[in-house]
Amino acid sequence: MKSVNKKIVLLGNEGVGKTSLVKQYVNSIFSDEYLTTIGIKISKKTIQIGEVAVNLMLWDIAGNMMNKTLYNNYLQGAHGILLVADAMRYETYESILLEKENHLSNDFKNAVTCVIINKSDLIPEADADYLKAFKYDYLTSAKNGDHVELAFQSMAEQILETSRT
Amino acid sequence: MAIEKDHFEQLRHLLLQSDRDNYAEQNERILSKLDELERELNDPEKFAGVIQKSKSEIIDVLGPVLGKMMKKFISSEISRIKENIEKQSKAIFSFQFLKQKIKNKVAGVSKSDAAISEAMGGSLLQVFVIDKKSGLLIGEYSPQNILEPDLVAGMLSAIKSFVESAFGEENSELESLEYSSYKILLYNFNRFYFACVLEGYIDAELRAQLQDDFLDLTDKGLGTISLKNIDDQLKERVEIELDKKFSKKYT
Repeated sequence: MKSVNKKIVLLGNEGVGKTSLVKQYVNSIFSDEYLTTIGIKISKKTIQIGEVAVNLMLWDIAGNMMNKTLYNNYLQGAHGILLVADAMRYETYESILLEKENHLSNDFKNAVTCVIINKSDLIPEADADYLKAFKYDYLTSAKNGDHVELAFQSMAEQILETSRT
Repeated sequence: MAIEKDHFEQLRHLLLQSDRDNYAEQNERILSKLDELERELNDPEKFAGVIQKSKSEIIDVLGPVLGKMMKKFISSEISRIKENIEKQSKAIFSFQFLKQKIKNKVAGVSKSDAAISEAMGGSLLQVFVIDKKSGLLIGEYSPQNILEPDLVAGMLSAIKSFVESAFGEENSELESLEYSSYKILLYNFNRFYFACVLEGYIDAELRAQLQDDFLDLTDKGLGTISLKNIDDQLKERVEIELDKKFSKKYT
């Protein structure tokens, strides 16, 4: 069976739930904590897409690393970038949008980029308009697992599709 | 009032006397036990007896720690001695040294290295070929299976990135990492790098030999590979080359 390796980087402010998303999705984790000095955690998940086994290497970058020189190095060679924001903190959404527009769409335009709004379990049920202010690709909850698998799977499919063209 | 106070004191004395006696007796017992323990610890024969009794437990606890420390210590001491030998050779027998150097150069060995490495040769445990840009594993040579080489390749690349951007010297790249008695030598090429995990005494000859091997591999087999898709076909191709190069040479 054919297999390929792909690199996905998770970006987003501190506390938006990047690590929890990875934890929810992956069962093979290098270290449960960020290696605090270098600000990164790497995990691996192998999934099946059609006839291909895709080894996803997930680079979870600590929120406080954003805007540092080193952070750019970690993004090098990424096939996909998952931008994660907290549904309860609008400023985290603004921050990833800014990052996407000013930086990623220029320097990493070949990478597939998706926006995830996490912590959907905290959105007040009565407030139907709550999400109107967000424009996103996936609404997830790392807490109960809602759409987590879907987000990673779809990203992997898009990456595979892009690499074929 | 004064009489009442006297009565109270007498009552207290009567009631607490037995407690006081008990405490005094217990204190005395504890002090004598402590004295006894102190005597035992200061008596070499008795102390040796205690150690003898729990020999295997002590070995279990201290063995691995001391083993690693000794291994590392011996390895660094050998490097130091080797340097001293070369320094002295240079100073005292400079002509002879030069002559020997030329002789060994022809054979490809330094005099001190030859003697030491013959006795202590370092062993190659693993070789990783890693994409410089993404940190993805392209292939590996690993006589002993290790857990998740993909994760190791990623973490090595992250550490490499960290060190290189922290010190930020132009055209400089991380060349080695050390952990316990293991050494990871990094040989950097344009698009990928080799990470070589070794154990034991790593002499200049072994370093140079590996450098030649990697230059040769890059020149003949791996220099033209496409890294657009890092997949199992590429991995197989790279691993065949690595196996050809290393399986007979470094066992």
